[in-house]
Amino acid sequence: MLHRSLAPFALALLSLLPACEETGLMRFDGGTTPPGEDGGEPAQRQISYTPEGCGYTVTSPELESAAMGTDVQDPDNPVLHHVHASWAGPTDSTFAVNWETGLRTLASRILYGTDRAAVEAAEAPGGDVLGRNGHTMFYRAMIGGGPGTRLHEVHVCGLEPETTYYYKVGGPGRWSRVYEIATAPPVGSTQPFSFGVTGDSRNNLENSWPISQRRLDEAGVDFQVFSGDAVFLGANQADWRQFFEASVDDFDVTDFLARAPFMMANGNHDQLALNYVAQFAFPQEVSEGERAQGMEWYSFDYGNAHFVILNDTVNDSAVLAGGQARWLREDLARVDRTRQPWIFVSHHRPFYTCRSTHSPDTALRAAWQPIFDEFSVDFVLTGHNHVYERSTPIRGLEGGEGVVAATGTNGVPTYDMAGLPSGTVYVVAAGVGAELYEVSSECTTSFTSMSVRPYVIFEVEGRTLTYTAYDAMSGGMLDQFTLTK
Amino acid sequence: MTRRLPIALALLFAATPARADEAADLSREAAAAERRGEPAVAVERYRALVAADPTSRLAGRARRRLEWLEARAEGDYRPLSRYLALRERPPAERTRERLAAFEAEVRSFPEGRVARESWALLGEAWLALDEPARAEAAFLAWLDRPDLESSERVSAQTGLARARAARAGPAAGAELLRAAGLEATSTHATLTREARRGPLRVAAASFLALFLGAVLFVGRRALLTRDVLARAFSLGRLAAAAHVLVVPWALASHYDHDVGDTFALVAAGGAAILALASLGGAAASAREAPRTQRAAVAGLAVLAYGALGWLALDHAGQLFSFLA
Repeated sequence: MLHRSLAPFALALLSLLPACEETGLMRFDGGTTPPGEDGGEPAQRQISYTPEGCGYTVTSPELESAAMGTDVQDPDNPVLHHVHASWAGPTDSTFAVNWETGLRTLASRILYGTDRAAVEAAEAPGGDVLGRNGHTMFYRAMIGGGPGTRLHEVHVCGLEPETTYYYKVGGPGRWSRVYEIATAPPVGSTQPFSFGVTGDSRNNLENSWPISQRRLDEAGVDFQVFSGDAVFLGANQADWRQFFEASVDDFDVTDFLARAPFMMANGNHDQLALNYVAQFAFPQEVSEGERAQGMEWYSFDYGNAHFVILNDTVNDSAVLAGGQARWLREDLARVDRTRQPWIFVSHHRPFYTCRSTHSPDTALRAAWQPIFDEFSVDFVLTGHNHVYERSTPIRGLEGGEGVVAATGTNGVPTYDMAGLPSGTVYVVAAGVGAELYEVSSECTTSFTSMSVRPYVIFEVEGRTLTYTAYDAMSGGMLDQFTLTK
Repeated sequence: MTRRLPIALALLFAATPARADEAADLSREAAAAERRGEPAVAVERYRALVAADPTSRLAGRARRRLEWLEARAEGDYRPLSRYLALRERPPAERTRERLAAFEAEVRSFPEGRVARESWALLGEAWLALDEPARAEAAFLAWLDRPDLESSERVSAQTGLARARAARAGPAAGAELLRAAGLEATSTHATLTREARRGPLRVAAASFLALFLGAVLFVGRRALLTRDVLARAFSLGRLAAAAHVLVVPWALASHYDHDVGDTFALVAAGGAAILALASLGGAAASAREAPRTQRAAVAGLAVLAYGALGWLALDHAGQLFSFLA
């Protein structure tokens, strides 16, 4: 346990070393051949390509080696695990899958289709079963990676909206089990959808991480927004293995993560380490000052909602209030509120939180709240404090403090004729794994708060939204309201 | 065949939005039925949705909800209906009267998931109402169910321990988990830490007081003389003071700038301890006190610095997993 208490200091020391901050990896000297790869050609450290049928480019981080997949399987290590899905392109026609295998496996293929039995039976594309090839990556993590980590990533594009697909990943001779995943309704559609919100799964105390994931899976949410701090130390591969391999009874977290795309913000513990960047596929559009091949901050659309994921753990305030803020403004300015009336933003550190372990981040508030106000963001979803908190609607700043906006029954915003909220609701919903903190509801901007392990489910249908917060441990509802704009 | 294809395609396209609308209607009705505590109605709607549009996104969700509901069909959904009626209420509406009435109902529930989940909900709800004895009873009733899954057994035991801790102190809760062989759980670590916190606060405060007393003792009569003040501040000691100030600041600003207050306290307190230790040492030299006294002051200064750091982190709630 002692090493846990020293980890903040280890994190601090890591962050003091600029060269290491973005890596979390051993330096590759170029003199050895990564396992499974032909020594004839020098290993390529980064790969960039346009997946078949996709209108976007995928760029891997720079690591020990990166290459397009082949059909090679590791003869000694048949493991194929950590399968999880996300989006790097339009949610109504694409999805991406990442997984880990034995070190010598280079096979990075996916077989998919709408007929489950056909996908289960297939060894190669044909008939109703389609196939795509992805890329493979290899690195030796700075901490806890053993002999190395072999990852695979594949992107599937050109899908029909609102459709359930079945898929399996791997390659000839060794495939994962078959998972299902559904594409989103088209942008602007009023079809109902739901998504879950969690954060701070690190340490998996009380086994609450898989318990929360099982509850979200049982609720049938379409995807998950995660506000950061998946692991205790982003550079520690062993922590990521614990994250992906957590289970409760006969439920593995990947049962859910492979079905419901996982869209994550970087937390201070994740450190934007390459372990994190390499293991997830998010939209990549590099903007001013942005690292991680454009995955540091990004946005996506789902039905009639727009989602923005930000990185607030940037030490350089010029990026926080400069490049990232400019990108945020431009991104939100593009949203057509008549087609997408709902805007959700997620990042890690809250700037409205009441007397908990971490104080409100007032620098962040000054940098971002004016933009949230300008574009009438509906909800801001954060973590960092391991509690549940919901603010009153807030609009404007006076002396650096948020101004409570017009408030309806049960602390919800009121809406004008255009469907714009009187203020933004700031939510802290985190701690499905990390130690619980104390919290208070006595601040002016605080509507309710509880020291629990929460998860939130948003159900959106057209211009109506139902918000329900639950305690992951008991399953009991904590907070609920319905809005119509 | 070729002539029929456009007609079939036209029919398909014409049918798709209607089918999607029907699926959306059924999905909405099912979700509303669940919220009202009418699981049998929800099951019927979800089944209709899967039949109407089996490859759609909403059908996937419906299948998942069906699986969950059908696994809780005991007693023809009546127990589930009662359970949902309580679970879907906000905490403020889970009053003592409602919990007591529900508890009476749960006793008659047949074996199955709903009975187990009901006791879990009751245990947590009683704890939230600061009724640890009733919470203990609920967690014990949960533990008594013969069909518990392994994760439920751990959750029930840790819930019981938290209730016991609320009633009889954290040591009693930790002991209960130790007896159950659950020393590796984070609840055991938390309760153990809580149990040690009080004595450790006293010990830390004692170290600080002892250090102050030692400085006054070894430096008696000579402490604030001009000679001692001049001797106390060397370049080396100023460098050490700068180190004591800068390192916590650097940790705070680079790791987590919103823990600045905690580290500012450590920095300021650490500098004060160093200054006092320097004064004490210089005063001891001035009055030619034994070397052992100077060594004792130095040793106590180190302990006092550790005690200060512990108290600051403990006060800020950031001292986790350190003692267990």
